[in-house]
Amino acid sequence: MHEITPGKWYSGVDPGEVLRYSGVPDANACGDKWVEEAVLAVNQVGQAASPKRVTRECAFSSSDGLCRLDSLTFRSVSLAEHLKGCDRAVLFAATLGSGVDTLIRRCSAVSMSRAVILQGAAAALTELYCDVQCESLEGAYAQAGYYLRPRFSPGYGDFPLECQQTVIELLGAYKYAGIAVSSGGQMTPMKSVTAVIGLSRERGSAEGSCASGKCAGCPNTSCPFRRA
Amino acid sequence: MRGMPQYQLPLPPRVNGGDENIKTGEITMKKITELLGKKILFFDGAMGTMLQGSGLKAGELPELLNITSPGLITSVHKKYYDAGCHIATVNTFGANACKLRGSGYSVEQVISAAVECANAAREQSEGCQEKFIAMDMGPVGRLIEPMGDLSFDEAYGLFSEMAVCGEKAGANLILIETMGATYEVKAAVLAAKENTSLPVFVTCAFDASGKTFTGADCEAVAALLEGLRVDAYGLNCGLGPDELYPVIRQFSEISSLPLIFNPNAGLPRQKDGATWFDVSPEAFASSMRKAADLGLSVMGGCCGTTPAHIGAMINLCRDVPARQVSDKGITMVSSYTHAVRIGKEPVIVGERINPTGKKRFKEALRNDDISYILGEGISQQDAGAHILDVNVGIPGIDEPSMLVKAVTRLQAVIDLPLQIDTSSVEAMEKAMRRYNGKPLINSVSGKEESMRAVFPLVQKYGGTVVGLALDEEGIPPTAEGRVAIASRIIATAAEYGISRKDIVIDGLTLTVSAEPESANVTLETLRRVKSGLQVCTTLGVSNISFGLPRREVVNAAFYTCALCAGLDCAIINPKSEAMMNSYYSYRALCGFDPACADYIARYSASADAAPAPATMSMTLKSAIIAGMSEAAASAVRGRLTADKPDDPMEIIRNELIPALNEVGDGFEKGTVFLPQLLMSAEAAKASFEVLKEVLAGSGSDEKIGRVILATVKDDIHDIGKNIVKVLLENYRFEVIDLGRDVPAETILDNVLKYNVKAVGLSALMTTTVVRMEETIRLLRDHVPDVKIFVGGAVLTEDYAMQIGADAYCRDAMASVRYCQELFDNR
Repeated sequence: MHEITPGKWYSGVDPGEVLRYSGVPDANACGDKWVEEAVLAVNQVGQAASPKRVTRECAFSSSDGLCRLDSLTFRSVSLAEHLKGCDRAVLFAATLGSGVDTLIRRCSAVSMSRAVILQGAAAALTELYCDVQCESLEGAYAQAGYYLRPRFSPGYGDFPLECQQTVIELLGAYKYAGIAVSSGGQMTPMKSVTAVIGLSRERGSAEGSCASGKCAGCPNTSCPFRRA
Repeated sequence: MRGMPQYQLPLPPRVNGGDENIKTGEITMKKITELLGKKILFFDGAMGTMLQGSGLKAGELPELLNITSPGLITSVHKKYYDAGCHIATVNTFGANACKLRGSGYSVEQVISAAVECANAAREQSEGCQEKFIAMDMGPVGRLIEPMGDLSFDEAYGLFSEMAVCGEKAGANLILIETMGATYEVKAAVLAAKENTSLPVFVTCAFDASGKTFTGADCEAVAALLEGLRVDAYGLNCGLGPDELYPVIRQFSEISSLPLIFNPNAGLPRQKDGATWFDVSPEAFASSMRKAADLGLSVMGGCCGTTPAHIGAMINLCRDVPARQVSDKGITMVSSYTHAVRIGKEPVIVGERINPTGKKRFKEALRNDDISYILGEGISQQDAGAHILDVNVGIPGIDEPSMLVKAVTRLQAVIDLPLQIDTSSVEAMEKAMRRYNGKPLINSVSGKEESMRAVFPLVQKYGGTVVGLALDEEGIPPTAEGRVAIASRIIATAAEYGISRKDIVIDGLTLTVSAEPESANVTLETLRRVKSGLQVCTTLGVSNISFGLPRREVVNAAFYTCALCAGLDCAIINPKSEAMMNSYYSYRALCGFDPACADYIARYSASADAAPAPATMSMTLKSAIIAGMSEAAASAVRGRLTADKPDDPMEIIRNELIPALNEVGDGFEKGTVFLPQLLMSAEAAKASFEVLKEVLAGSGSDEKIGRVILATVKDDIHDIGKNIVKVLLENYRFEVIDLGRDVPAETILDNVLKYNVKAVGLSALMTTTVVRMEETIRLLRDHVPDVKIFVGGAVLTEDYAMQIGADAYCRDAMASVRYCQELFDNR
């Protein structure tokens, strides 16, 4: 039985989570062979990844659903609601890097079953990497008396997807992390995330912290990957 | 800027006696390349940092200030010239048509205003150093295919426009900077060199691991840029001078061209919402002084550096004597991630991507079946190849297009350097142009015509070229004759500026069964070329054994002999156990494998391995259901070679299809999951491959129907479409896969071309479902009878109907069921 390489930033990823993203809702239902595949995929993706993140703190305000984030002004009731009580926010972008895309493309040419599991591992590692980064931000901002809200990405609720491009430009995310937006509004490398993280002087509600909030705070209740 | 430490400007620069203050473009242009390597030239520092300090808001296009606030831009340039720099980088980093779209200004307006600002500063500054103006070209901000959606030609067009405007406005050189993707670098360099006569400097952005963000290491970047014959190259941005010191040191060890070092003023920090950099001018200068000892030719700063940083650096470094740049003589070829050095350790060039004598390969080429070629490439990489030979020449196909397609598609999935192998000069040029890296070129010969055709391509695009020891008179029968031709190839290459490090001589392997002395002549040629001409060597090893039984026995023995005689690059089949035995043994015996570690790793495991599981005993059906490809294939083989072989069609009807149905039903009921479904599909595919050999030509291998699959325009996520493809093929549909980001017109053209009755479209996001709707509308207008089924993350049944699709398929099995119904009904 293989194990996830110890001592790496991705050592803590849950193979069950990888399988969940690969279309296997219950790892126990399909036996050790698949857990083994998931572990192999985690190690492969972890080795191919060159994760990077960029952040930038800026002012935030909203009134009647009109949000002002640095030089960006747009309408989003859901973001305004999510960042209620925040006067500042952190723009956030993170990526696993283009090596992971190449790995998945390579595998797709010979075995789609393995490609699907690599894709699941890449999704799980992206989440984990973002969580680890947010935990470190949480620690840094705690000293300044700020709490972090869960990540909220363009495309969630009515937060316009088009804002992704501006967030990337404001962060210089192409220059510093190689994250670009295609003409169709999709991010490359594919395992990339942009988000806004609210900073508030008061601890958030039941939706949890930046690192652990995740599904609970997401308005998409019909998502097939939503956790119970 | 809040939080930005304020520093005093240094003393005015010292006047260099005798140097004139050159201002005209033509004189300066000659002068800067003449000065390279004679003394250290200094670039300016950051423009963006200075503009942010003057109130530039985040998200604003700084390039527009060339027009709206020329005084501000001029004042920044003047401060840098006053601090003593030689080269002002104009404010055109993002002045490409893509970024300026909607700004109200043209590329030419922005660039000519930018150069005017720098010119004005040059007039105003009283510093007595030579002053040059660099046209600045930063990344487009979108990744080139296959990593992104921008085409190589689009990128080339954007850079060409910038370069032409820069030269017209009076810039003295072109600086291509902050590049993270080598493919984009190549597009920009070709654009600059083909459309202007300006010197070209290139700097890439590296991280602390010594790689660019697309994974290129120093050797990959050096091989590419030296091949493209830029005037100077190096690195900028990313990190501070101390963090990047190991990277620039590595460059200094391998580079044969003048080196540039423009790091940031340390790492960006944030305080109260403002960004500042943590290295002071004094600390920056001291770190740069240390780097200067590496023999750098050009030094400056990037993000966070100010006139104070640049002035302090110049004060400390201007008296450091420049070091003459020397040719390091390293033979290497590269991919987009790494280089392979030739001449140190034995290198394996995988020979399998070549249709000669391969029926299945020829069929794949005629059917445009690139996936077969990708499979051959991946398996050779897994078997240990360092470089892959790519030859797709068969009569009756468009070889230039096929070679470009094979090279670009291989580079999308494999990071090994490629050997472009063709006798068509047109195919060679097209493939070299689109190759991401520095390729091995196979080949040039001693014929005048061949050298006249091939050397200019190597000179322009870069590459290491295989020189065949033959000429107009044929192949000399003696080693002397072959060495003489090799010498002529090397001498003629030098006339094109191609040094001997970029020549690899092929002494030619002839069939030993026809020419008893042929092996001896080849081995003697190897020895003489290696010791006498001091160039690297290559051989197509397996040619030795044509016409003999058990060819691998002779091949492996000859391979070992050739290695001992000085063979550097062996073109062999890395999947041959006998050849790899020679390779690993030679490395262990000749000091290339310390402590025999690689040998032990390879062979101790095979000795200790547990016996293989008894897969032979599995039934075909159970092997498919368990998703075991090897077991399924060997079960079929067993059935076909039994004393009473089974009828292939019976095997398909009675076992393959029922097994697939059982798994498919399980998937629909939720007892089998997606990876299991696909693994069973792969096992079934392995069985079909075995059956195909028997059925080929019998007419029994007919498909149920033909289906086009595509991910719509602007959508680059294709994993869902690829899953559907695997399953449809399994259920005996012929799939024409048009790939991802496919324009509606291309889909329509293919529907008409192949007379297809069903089209499957995939789209991931709401933004690209709009494209799906447009595609459906176009198809409805021109081919109303074609059936369209759709799928993708954001689609629902209602949404699919709303955009005019015939069917919504929630998963891959639903697509199969829809197509089965469609074609059965017909």
